[in-house]
Amino acid sequence: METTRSQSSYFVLRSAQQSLLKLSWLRFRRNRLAIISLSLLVLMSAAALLAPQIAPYDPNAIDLTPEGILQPPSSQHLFGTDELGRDAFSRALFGARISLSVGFIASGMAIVVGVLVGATAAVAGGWVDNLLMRLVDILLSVPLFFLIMISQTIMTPSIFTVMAIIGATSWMDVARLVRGDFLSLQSADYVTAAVVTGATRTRIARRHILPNVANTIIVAATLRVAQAILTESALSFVGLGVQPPDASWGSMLQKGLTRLLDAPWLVWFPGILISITVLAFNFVGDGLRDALDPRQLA
Amino acid sequence: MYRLILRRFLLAIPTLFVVSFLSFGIMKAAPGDPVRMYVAGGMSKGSVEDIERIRHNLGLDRPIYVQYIAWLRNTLRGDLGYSLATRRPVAQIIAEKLPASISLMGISFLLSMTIGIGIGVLSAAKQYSLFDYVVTVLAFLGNSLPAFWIALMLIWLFSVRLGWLPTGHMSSYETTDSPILDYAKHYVLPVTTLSLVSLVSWVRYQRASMLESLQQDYVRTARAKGLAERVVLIRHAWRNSLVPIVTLIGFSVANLVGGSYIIETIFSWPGMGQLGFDALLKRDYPVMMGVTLLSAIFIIFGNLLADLTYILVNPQIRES
Repeated sequence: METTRSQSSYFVLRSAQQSLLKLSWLRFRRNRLAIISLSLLVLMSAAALLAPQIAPYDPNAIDLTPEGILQPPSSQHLFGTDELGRDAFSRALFGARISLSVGFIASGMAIVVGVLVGATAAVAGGWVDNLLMRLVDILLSVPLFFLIMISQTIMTPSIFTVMAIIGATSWMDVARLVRGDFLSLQSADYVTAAVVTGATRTRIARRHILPNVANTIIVAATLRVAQAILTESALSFVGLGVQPPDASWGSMLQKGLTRLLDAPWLVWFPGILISITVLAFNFVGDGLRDALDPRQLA
Repeated sequence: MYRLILRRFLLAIPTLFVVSFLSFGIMKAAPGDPVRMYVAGGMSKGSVEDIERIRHNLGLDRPIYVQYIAWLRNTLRGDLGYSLATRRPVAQIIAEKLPASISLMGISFLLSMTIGIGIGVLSAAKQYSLFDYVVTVLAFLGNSLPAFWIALMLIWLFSVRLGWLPTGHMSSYETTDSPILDYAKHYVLPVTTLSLVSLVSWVRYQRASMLESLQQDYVRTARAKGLAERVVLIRHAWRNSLVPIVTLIGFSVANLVGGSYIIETIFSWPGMGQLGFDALLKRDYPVMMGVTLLSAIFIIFGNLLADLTYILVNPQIRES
């Protein structure tokens, strides 16, 4: 008996959630820029995943003949070739794997930490809240990029340290956002109702408030990916990010810098790829913010 | 109001402590022996006794907290130690690099703020116009393009292809230009790149804030009184829209300090950013710590400035 009742309420909830999702999706679909950006990102992720299958050349194949090195873009080499005669397009495809995965994983870490800290501060309140938020204030006035660079010189840089450091230094604004949303929802009627039914504070936070903060978190996560990709590219550009033989778009730019005079295409394409990707994440994030806003449901 | 200002000042103190802890801790966790670097830098070989003697003289054989307190005491006296690479006082090296950095950051800050506010106001006043549309698109672009890549593209276009501007440094060794023109030419590209970083946020915030204040009742009243549109826009809408955006001052300073490491390095700019970056590659710990600490002071100062301006321009707080 008990299970039937909870099951039926489960279905009601579920269909309500589905229609909410559907409505949001309908609204998102109307935003042309966001849809184009999303398709682009899907395409780019697919290309990155399938890089070994679709790359026209081995990204590390060296061709030192005069016809092989530093070729400008052509139908054979879409992005030209570098000083070792490697195909820049194939390298960019493989670079996409690293740039995108650093972006996703680093922002994932930032979101987890940010949500935990923000929710804890809001739920616990009192001195815990005070302490955590002062910590956030303090960390936000630390010269973070320099600290990231210092940590990278100390920790033998690799993809994993890049992900970890970017994640560890970019959760603060997420924590602020989540705390703000938690605080405003804590006075909502359905939360009071849950308190009356005797639900524990953690249960209320997890089951009643968190799902309603999901919108904020999803939008923040999307915009964080963009920021993480930018930070990674800057780190790799100065040689403190991804290390050879791995190459991200940022480290391709570092190599290209030395060839600015005779092979500027080595600097054009990786930079354009970074810009387009970050732009697309920003557009999708903005589109999501508008689409997920429950005030626009009507 | 004074209590609030005092509170802001007090908050800066723990921030400085955390920065000093972080940088000191990271340096101590670093692999590689600074004493060996120091010895290898000058002598061809150092015996084990020499190394131990130097380690003892530098106090590097004492417990970490003793080293930290000693370092902190010296720092408070303005003594930042000696560079391991050049053996000159860190404070002196930094002092030499400061004018280049401060002028670069100062000009970029003023430019990005004034231009950003101007564009933001215009774009909001003419919402949905072509100008507004272009500004919105450019703001998105500016938010998404890596600053260092913009720097590279500017160098490629204006220095390599067109040959109009120098690729870097602050002045030329030999030039037919007057010294002022020569300096000016060297400032153009770094200032442009560094300004772009925070220009975008000024535009976005000013536009949003101006749009909001244009919808307020007092703007409608001002228009109903028959005031000229220019007066309505500037005296009534714009002045009120400034309150929320002055907090951007702090954000903007942090952006400039953070951006200066890469931008100064790209343009071989003889400033603090490049100094810090070089010290990083040479593992010159005293210089790294000095630069970190000074960068933090800059950012904290920027935040304080933002808070104080916020209090000053906001009558609700000022009069409480």
